[in-house]
Order: sequence, then structure tokens, then C-alpha cells
Amino acid sequence: MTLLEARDLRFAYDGREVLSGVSFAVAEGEFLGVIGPNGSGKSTLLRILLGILAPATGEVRLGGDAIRSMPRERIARRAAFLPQGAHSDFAFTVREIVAMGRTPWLGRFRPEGPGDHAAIAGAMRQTGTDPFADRLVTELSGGERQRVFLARAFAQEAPVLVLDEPNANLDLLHAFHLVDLVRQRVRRSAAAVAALHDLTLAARVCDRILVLQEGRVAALGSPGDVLTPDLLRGVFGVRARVSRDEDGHLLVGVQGPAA
Amino acid sequence: MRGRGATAILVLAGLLVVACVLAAGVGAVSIPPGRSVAILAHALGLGSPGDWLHHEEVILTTIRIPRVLVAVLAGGGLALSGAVMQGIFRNPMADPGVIGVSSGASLGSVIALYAGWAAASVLWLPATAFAGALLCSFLVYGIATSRGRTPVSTLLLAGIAVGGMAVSLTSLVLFLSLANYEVGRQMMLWLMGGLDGRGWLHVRLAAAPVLLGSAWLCLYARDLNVLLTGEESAMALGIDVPRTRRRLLVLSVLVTAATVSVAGVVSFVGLVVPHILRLVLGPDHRRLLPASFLGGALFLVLADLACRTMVESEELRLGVVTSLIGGPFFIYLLIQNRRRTETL
Repeated sequence: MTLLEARDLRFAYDGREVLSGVSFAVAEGEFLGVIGPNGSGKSTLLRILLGILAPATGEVRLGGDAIRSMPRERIARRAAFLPQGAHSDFAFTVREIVAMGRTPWLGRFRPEGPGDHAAIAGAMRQTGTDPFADRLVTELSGGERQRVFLARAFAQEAPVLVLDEPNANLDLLHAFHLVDLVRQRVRRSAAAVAALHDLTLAARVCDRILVLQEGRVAALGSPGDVLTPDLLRGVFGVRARVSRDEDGHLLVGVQGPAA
Repeated sequence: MRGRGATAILVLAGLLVVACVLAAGVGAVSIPPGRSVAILAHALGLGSPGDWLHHEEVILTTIRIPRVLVAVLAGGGLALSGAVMQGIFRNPMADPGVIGVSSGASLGSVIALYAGWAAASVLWLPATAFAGALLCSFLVYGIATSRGRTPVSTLLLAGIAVGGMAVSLTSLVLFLSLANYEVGRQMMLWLMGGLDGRGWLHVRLAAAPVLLGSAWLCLYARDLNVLLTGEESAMALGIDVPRTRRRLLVLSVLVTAATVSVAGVVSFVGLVVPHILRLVLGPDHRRLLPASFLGGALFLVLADLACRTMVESEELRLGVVTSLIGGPFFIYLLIQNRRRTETL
């Protein structure tokens, strides 16, 4: 079942074209990685998928409905977001942050009910954040904090997860853990779109990879088909070696700038 | 202290009631707390007439109680809208003053006094102060808004510019009035804030906007929490950020304008009270907003009591007292928290 669909998206900022002719669909159970050099339009694309930015032409459909005509709250019930470097300068507790994930499901006069508490507890359990539920989010390490904001996105119970560089500033082990949590969630009836910069990690967790180059889709397909030395030279301008480890996973080793 | 929001709110409410009864009893004619409560109960039709003197009842019901109620409304409204503004701007330094509410109210009131309207009817002064506050803040908002977008930094800069001009115009009107000693004196008194001579009329003027506005603002507590974690986060959680911010701004300006129109310029309440309560209760607006209302009310009732009792022959000005208590306390908090924040 298609959960998210982008049709011929175009976006311009101050007359400069940022995205052009971007189309793809993401099905239930699928993890789509978005890669591309800085300024290739990854962040803009994610924001358009969430309705934070409106495309000049084209449309985004969530669960079959165009988001253009949806109120924000309904979009939020279908797509959750983990922004890059999510943090809070204000000393909320971990539980308070995760509970914010219920916002699109609550009315102004409707407080949290048993269903909301179950969603919050479930999200904290899945992300392993329940041991520090009462700590202040301002006092956590980067890896813990990122998991807390992922738990908030899980608590939102939206079928589509959109993640902007979820691994930025995380060390190797934490980066792997975080993406693995998303992977597990996707297997249990969800879909994810994530901008990623670690190509080996992307190859390992993504079902398909979309490559953006100057706002256009340079390639879209399985990691094995997309991540080739030729493409990496053409899009990123680097000399790279692509091999496989003993389990058959792709390893992308960047050797240096392309001559 | 975290997670004890309900306890803190009950404690503040209890302290507020005690402070109100005490404040109603203190003055040139001293009325013991027990008798104040009995007179009040009787006035509300709850008790039988007791052994109090007639003039005690008159002083309490026509002078002291309305004055205390104005303090409750003004203090509560100022602190709650201060907390809301700090949430909207994600900046603990914000209060409604930053977008020109108090400078606009000041200009409105000195114009009413200069033109002689204030002498014609007691309604004119609060009415022009209210109008000045709204005009000034909506002017600031209009200048900062283009094509439906209001960048926060532009809004704050426009607030400084328009507020500065309003202050200068206020000084100009004050200067033109100096020849008339009594008018000039009235202006100075208003600009220094105070609750002298406030009665049931002022309670009636401020009650609806302050109480309804505050209750309405409390319904946005969850939205404010989410806004604190970032604009895009809030949008992705289903909040229409520009519309929510606009509503919160308009409501808190209305509440503040209503308080300024009956109390004059009273500074630091909107800044200090939410700041202290945030340190104690944490940033969750579901606790912070009601606690700020009660805390602000408590602070202003006590500050007004201090104004009336500290000097024997003359009342001190409320705005002066709140600044002299709030300012040093705020500096103390800054020094305490200096190490935790970023440095230059």
C-alpha cells in the first residue's frame, strides 16, 4: 500500500530553482533514503513532504489524499518529523517531550486519555528512553536526546516518518542504533523517508535510495543499483570504492576527490 | 519540585486569599482579618450582621476590596501574559512591553489628561490608555508583517522603534503640561503606576478582558509547550504556527492593555513572576500559566500593600515599588544562573 507519494514536485526560492520534477512513492514497510550533496534540495524536499513548505507545482499525497487541502493537524496524524539536531533550550522532562507527540490527536478541551498514555509508554519502550523518563531533556547526551525526539515522533503514531539527517552528531554506535529503531518501526506497518549522509549506513537500512543532484532525481533504486562508483563520481565528485562485506552488505569507501 | 504543579497552584491560591484578606484589613482604619471575612460573608449574603461598625463595612466594601481585586486582576493578567509572550518569542526576556503595549498606554493616558477628558469622566483615562496600548501594539505588528509573515526579530525591532517614539511623544505632552501643576502631577502619578482611588468601576472594566483573556490563553498551554521546541517541530505536530502565534499575541496584548488601563505602568511583574515560577515548576505551560496568574496577583497585592503602609504620610507608587523589588531580585537570578547560559 502506498503511504506517501510525491508527484512532479517543483520548488523555487527567490527565483532559484531548488527542486524540479521530483516524483516517487513510498509503500508500507519501506525505508527510503534520500542522499545528495549539500544544497541538492534534501531538506527542502522533506519539508514539502510534511507540508511545512508548499511546492510551486506538483503535489504530495499522504495515505492517498493530497496534503494541500488538509489541515495541519490531519497531516500530523499521517506524517511525523524528526528535525535535524532536535533539541529544547527549555528544561522539559523526557516524558513531557514524548507526550508532545500526542498533540495532533488532542483537542483543546480533550486531555490525554488511556490511549494516549499507552502510545507514549510504547514509544518510550521502543526507543529505550523509559529509564530516564523523569530526567530533563537539557541534561541528556546527544544520543539520548535524539532518541527522545524519535520517541516523540513514534508517539505521534503517524504511518509515515520523515527524518532529516537523524545521525548528524551521533557517534557510530548511536547512529546505528537510531536508524535500527526506525527500521524496526517501519517493519511494523510504517514507512520512512530519511535524508542520510553516511552512505554505508544508508545502504544497510534503506530499501531504496533516492539521489538528488541540483534538485533533480539523479537516481532512484535499490542501494546495490544506485550506489556505484560512477554515480558517486558524477553526483558527489568523489572517487569511491564500493564492495560487499561477508554478509553481502554494501561498503562505500570514499578515497578522495575525483580527478 | 517538578511534577507538583497542582500543589504549587493550591499553595499560591491559598497564599493569595490570605494576602487579600490581610491587605483588605490594613490601612488608616485597621480591620482584623476575622472581621473582614465576616463583613465579606455578610455582603455576599452568607452570614448574619455582626458587631462591626458601619464605617468599617463601608471602607471594606467600597474602597479596600475593589482595590485588592484590581491588584489581583492587574498582577495576574500581567504575569500570565508575560509568560505567554516569553513562550511565543522563546525568549525569557520578553514581556508585553516589548511590542509597545505600555508605551502606547502611557501616551494615551497623558493625552486624555492633557486634553482635559480625564477630568470630564473617570472612564476616559482607562479608555484612552486601552486604546493607546492596542493602537501602538497593532502598529508594531503591522509594520513587522508583510505578505502574512511576521518575523520575530522585525517585530521586536519595530517594538523598540514605535515604543521609543511613543515614549518621546509622552514626554512632549508631559512637557507641554508642566505649566499646569495639577495636570502634570496626575500624569507623573499615572506613569508611575498605582491603585489609589481604584474602585468597583475599575474592577468592572478590567474583569472581563483579563479573566476571559487569561482563561482563553490557558487553553493554548499545550501549543506553547510545543512551540518552545521549535517552529518546524510545532508545525510537524499539527500546529498552525503563524495563526496560533497571532492569536496568542492579540490575546495577551488585550489582557495587558486592560491591566495597564486600570493600574498604570507597572513594570517587572510580567518578567519576574513567570521567570521565578519557571525555575520552580519547569517550562510546562499547563502549570506555568495558572501559576503565573496567581503568583502575579499575589505579588501585586503585596506590593500595593507595601505602597500603602511603608511611608506614613504618603502612598508610594506601585510601579516604583514593583521595580525596586523586582529589579534586584531579577539581577540576583541572573547572577545565580550566569554559568548555565552561553557567553559572549
